[in-house]
Amino acid sequence: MKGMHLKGGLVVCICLVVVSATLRAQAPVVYFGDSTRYDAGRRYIVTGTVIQSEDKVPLAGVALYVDGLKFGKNSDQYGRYFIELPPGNYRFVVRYLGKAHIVRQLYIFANGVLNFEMTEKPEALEELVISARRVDENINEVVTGIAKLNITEIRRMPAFLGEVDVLKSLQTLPGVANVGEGSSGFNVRGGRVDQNLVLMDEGQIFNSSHALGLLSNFNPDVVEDFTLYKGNMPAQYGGRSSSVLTVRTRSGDMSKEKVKGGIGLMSSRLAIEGPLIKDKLSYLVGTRFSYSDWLLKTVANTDIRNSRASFYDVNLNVEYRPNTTHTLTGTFYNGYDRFRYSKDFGYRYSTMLGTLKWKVILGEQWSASTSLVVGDYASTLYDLDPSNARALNNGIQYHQFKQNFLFAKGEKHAVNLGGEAVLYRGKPETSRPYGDNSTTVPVTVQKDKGREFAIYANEEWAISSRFSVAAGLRYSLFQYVGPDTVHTYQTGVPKSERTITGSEFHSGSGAIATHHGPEPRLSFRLGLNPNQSLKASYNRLRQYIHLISNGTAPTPVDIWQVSNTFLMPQVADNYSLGYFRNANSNMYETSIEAFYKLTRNVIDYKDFAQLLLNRHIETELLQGNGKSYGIELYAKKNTGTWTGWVSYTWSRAFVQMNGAAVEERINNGDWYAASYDKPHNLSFTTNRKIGKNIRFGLNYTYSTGRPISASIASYQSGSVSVPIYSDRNVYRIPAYTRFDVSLTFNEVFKKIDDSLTISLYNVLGRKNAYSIFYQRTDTGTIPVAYKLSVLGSILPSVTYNFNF
Amino acid sequence: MRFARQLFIALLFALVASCKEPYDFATAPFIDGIVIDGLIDDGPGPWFVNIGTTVAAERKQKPLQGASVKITDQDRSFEYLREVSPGRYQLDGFIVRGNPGNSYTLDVTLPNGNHYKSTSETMPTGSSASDSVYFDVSTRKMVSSENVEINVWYVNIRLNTLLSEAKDARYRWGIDEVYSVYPTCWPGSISCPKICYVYQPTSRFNIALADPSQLIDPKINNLLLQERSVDESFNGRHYFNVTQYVMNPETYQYWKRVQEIVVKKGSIFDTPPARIRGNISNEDNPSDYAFGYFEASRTRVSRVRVDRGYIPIQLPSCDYNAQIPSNSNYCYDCTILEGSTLIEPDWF
Repeated sequence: MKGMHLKGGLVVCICLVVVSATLRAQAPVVYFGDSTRYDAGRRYIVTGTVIQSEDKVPLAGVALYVDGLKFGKNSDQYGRYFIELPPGNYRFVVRYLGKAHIVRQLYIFANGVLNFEMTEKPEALEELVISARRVDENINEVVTGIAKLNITEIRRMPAFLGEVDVLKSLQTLPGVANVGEGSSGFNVRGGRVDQNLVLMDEGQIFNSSHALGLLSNFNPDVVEDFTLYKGNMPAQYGGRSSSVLTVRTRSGDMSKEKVKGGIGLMSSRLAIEGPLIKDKLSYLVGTRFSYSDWLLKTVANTDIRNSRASFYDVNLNVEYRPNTTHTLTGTFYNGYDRFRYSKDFGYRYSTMLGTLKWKVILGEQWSASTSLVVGDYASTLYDLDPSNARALNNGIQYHQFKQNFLFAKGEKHAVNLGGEAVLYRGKPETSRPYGDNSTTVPVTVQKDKGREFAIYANEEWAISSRFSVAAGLRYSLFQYVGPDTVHTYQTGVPKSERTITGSEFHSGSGAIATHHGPEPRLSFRLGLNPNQSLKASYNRLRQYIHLISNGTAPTPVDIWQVSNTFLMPQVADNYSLGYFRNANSNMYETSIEAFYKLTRNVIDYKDFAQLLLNRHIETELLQGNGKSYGIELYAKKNTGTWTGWVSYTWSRAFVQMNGAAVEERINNGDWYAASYDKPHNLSFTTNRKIGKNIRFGLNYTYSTGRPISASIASYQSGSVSVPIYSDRNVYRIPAYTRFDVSLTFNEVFKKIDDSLTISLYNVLGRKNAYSIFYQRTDTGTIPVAYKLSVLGSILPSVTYNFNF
Repeated sequence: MRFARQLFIALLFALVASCKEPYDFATAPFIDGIVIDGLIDDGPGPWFVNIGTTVAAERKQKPLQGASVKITDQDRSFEYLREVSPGRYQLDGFIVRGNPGNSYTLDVTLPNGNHYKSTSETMPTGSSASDSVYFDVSTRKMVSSENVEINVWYVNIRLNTLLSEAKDARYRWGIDEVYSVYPTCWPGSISCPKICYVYQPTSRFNIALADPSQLIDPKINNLLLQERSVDESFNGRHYFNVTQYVMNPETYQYWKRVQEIVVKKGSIFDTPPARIRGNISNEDNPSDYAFGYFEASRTRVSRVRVDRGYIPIQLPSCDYNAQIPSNSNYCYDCTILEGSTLIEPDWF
């Protein structure tokens, strides 16, 4: 028996060697120059463009490397690449997730141009590659703290409600956390939610969540890929002080019509794409929508029966490519959410985003992109208390222009330079009576406007094969503009309604207050050997727009407020240091990164701050210092039967509010834990292919509970027992733990490219705490502690996905 | 489809229904914080100030005895309060009495020598609101701890009111209840035990507040003050006393904060809780303040009586039943109930 095993194994080995040799022998051969006449001391350039064969769309981020040398490059945003090599014979491999890889045998004795057309890869080959990035990009990329995932990669993670999700997958990476289920946004390296710049096709997204944060508003059928810069933000990005998340959506297929989508228990999605003019003009329309109301009405519980919840979003992308040098892209996004809990409260919010982008290749080394963006975010909170019922509206609009030039000289220099301008316009905050019985007074509070300008230059310079630098400078200027009325306050005392001494009306649209400053960015990479590198970075970031949120966690109805006469910009200095090491021919990727961040003018709130409909909101805000630091560990297995990653982050985030007056101090002016400070975060994600058509996925998450203020005593005031709370954020809610599993069955129906995904979210049925709060019982007068869990048990989902 | 629906309902319960549960959240108790709380109103008196020290999160304060307490009015007339029970100090009103438009200051000197003083509180002059208190009886389906759906009956105390338009007037309504308990009268006994009258602060009443400047109409209708679950206390006469307080704007702000931290739902829209600073602080160290508030408000009481006949369900009672004797101790001695007295209120 044992002998038979050995024999069988030997046969397999022999077969693999034969197949491998056959593949090697079959690689097409390409010659540049004459092998008898070349300069042995010179390095020759191979350049070209990588496109998709189906629709001729250039592919960015394609990994091109020289087999055996563990050396390679990625294609840029126009699909172009440059590789410099000494004369010789090389095996050249081109790889991109979801595409069949290409192998060429190159004989390089002169400069040459080699273009590639990549075709879709049969599913059976998928397990060979789990990353769209070049396999050793983590070692060779100069910038620290970059997290990149491809939509194909995250499709293998256990899905929530049957859908893969950009933000949920990001939260499995080191340094990225979330306050809890049900909250909007995410926190990066101890930063606030509003310190993340979230861009979809260059347009800012002010709320990236659907369904109170249970899903993100990025449709997986439309998203191409996404990158999170958490350590060092290139100078072409700015305006937030913690990170930037860029999400690229796909363009439609230029050659044929395609339909893909999914049908689930609570929501469905559909995307249609195809050519309007073959190889020149394409479209892509994608939508998601939920339809849970009719089911809610069947539930016996009155509160749930009276509740409503739904969302939808629509993406429309049109791309026009008249020739190989010009590309004009128009994208439109509209997302909408509404939720009502019984007769207590409700809200709705919507995001509208329109982008027009023109990319042009100006020559071999220069290219340019020009973009215009219009964005609108609006939210309404419904207070349904019968006698006091009201609808509170707020929101923000912006117009943005950005011009970027890219200069790429060989593989050594890549320079981005340009500028951008954004006009922010806060929508008036209004309160109007809701329903016939409401007696509330209608109120309108005008919100501030501001203009942000920035110019920048950023260079990535590969000084040698071992040492490279990314250096950039951004200079930003912000103007708080009129017309508006600005209050003046007594000096030397805390700002309050009582200390207003007067007000001044500024007519016209001139600047009322101006803030500006330089934002240097610097990164180094030192390659220790082909498998190891050290990286370090420093950057300064300035933030002129802030989320004013005094809830337990950020909510969709929070207010965006620009810097003004009183509200100073947040200025952050970020330092990070990382060691990266790959092993077993890049089968394993590991890294350890440390970061330290100091932020000036971090915002917090006075006790019992009244932020809604406040005409002098500066009286409720405090600005102070913030600091965060931590260590991130990451290990990833790229190939093999089991693939996946494990990440662990230890980090702390503190805030200090130490104003001159007692009312302007929190916790006596000492440093205290920020409300999103969660020291330990552990995440484990893996997946395995079972047989030909089944894939199993597993995800585990653990994090420390977030800080809260807890009741430490009670007293009697009149006939009411009043809890006395601790200093701010000195206690924590219980830790968060969750297991998720999923099974995906491919080819459910023959001759259809389809799959059925069954997922169990929170398999252990753990009631993770969202908050601890105090409430009187039915029989007692003294408030006692309660735990609120947003998800109380296992969440099953079944989704059928199709692709025609 | 049936499976899909069941799955969804399970999912929905997971999302919403099984969210909230009592939790044993350990905190280090805050001991020996000073609590000073009192009220002077335009009624006949007497008036009381309670003084104590904090103990733990789920207990009332411990009475603090031996303090020197006085109230001073705007004419600098003052009167000392006498300690009538541990930590409870009474103003008899021989010199200082509550009158609209007058200002009052509370001074407390603790046995350890620390001296606390309130800000000067002015009683509003604006007239009271016209209250009309009524009740209705309703039922709600609830899921019990054994996961069984049950009907729970409630008596809802509601208010219609017309607010005065005085600029300095803000309103609050408090509620307490008094009910009678008829102990078991044994057949053949010479005399039946006396009826008890039980005074009880209501448990989860709404802290109802109104600021006329924020309303387009001074009329408020159908304001729910209390949702009281029905129990055996409704076997006899059951009164709900609704006290209307006409407050100055500063006192209103204090109660607004109390309302904010007491009426929490745990949702994302809850503001983070914090300590409430009242109007009483240490004269020698302004950052040292007492919990509680010294309030000068006008008051008016309205009552509503709920008789047994309005309750549509059977309630356990203390009536003699040879087959099923009552196993409630209070049926034999109703004075053991907290807040119980044998003295009938004159308005009962």
